[in-house]
Amino acid sequence: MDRSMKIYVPGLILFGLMVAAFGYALFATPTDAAQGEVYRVIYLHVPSAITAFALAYVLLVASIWSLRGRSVRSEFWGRASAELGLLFTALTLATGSIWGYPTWGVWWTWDARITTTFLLALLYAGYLLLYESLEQGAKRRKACAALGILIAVDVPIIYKSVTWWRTLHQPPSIIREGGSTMEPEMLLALGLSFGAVLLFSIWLVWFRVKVLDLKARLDQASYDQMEG
Amino acid sequence: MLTPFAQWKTLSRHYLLLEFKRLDRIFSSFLFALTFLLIFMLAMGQVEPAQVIQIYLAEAFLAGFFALQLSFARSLEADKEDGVFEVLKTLPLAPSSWFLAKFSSVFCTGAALFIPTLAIASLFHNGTQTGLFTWPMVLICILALLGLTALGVLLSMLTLGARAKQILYPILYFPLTIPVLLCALEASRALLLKTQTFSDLWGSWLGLLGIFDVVYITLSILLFAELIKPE
Repeated sequence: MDRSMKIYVPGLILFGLMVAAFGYALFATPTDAAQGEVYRVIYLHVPSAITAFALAYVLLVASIWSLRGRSVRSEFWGRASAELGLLFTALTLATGSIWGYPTWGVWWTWDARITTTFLLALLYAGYLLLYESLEQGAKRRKACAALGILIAVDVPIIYKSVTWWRTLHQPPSIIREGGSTMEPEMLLALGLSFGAVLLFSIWLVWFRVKVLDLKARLDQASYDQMEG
Repeated sequence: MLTPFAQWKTLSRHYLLLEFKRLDRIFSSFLFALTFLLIFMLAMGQVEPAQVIQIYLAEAFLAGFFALQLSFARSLEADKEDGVFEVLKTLPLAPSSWFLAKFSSVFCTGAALFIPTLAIASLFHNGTQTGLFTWPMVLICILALLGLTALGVLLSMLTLGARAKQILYPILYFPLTIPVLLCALEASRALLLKTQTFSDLWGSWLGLLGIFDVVYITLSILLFAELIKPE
């Protein structure tokens, strides 16, 4: 196999794992007695939401690394995690809407958790806007790192919003006092989907960092050529 | 060399003079809040007595929030225009003194905007309801202002020199300040509707507001120091 093609192998394997996990969730788990088939969207909704939150912590680590280590690669990790964070937040909101319409009768409501998740999407978008609107250099690295840290602070607020504010959203049903309220098969399917989505997203971030790194090198090479 | 406290005192005085020398900036934001309140009042017309508290809080906080956003977004403009910022960067200043000086002056401007806005909004409802603007309400405003100001100054610093500053500032300011605003609103509503006493609120919304203030002020001091640190 061509060496350049080898970097796609883990991605393809993880994508296959994700498809298998979704297949198991769609065909091997029982139908929910109260919600019917529509509940199956949680196998994408919950993993996307947790991944979106988890990526805020990847952004936090990249931001601290940016402030401490002053490496350009840390900037790429920050940008890649914000891009993927925005993607997974959008996916969370979209799948939540798909579930919400048949369940609540509305596509959207200004509920505490939905609103705070929407705010997380705005913050990720704001991070990317800030990144693009500053010239490459120390100012951009530090400003984006500072914002990355602020975004990570927002995540626990989103998680706790369901218990703090009046909400339509379901209270936690997996990690709660008295144990999970889900059937063991459903819980297994959710765990598999979550693991697969999380691993695939980590690979996507890593892959995006590679692409950004390569782009920066190409830009530098073409700049050097022009100078020469 | 001056102690950090003396540095803070000197810089605060300088920044306060600078803020109040440019009264047009405060006045334009205040005029914006006043217009906002008037439009809201005209649109709402006669309000049911049972709804007065909710309407008062909505219009006062909305007017105050947007007026503050306008004012905070311009909080570092003077430093940038006069080159003060670059000069201060070269001086052996404690970053925390510098941030706290800027924070204090912007906080005073914010208080000069926010508290009168709430007072004027309460006057508009004077015929139907009394006791909307009370001392506990002022304290809630001050607590909310602490968090809003810390984020306002930090975001102003972050977006300094950014190409899309006019779009970026509201996109970032709005989601980051929501926890502070929600706590302040919930506390004010509980207080005015008398569902909780002021002392009970310290165990719920006011306590949470205080926690957000501490988190945002601490983070802002630390991040401001990183932002001005020379490479």
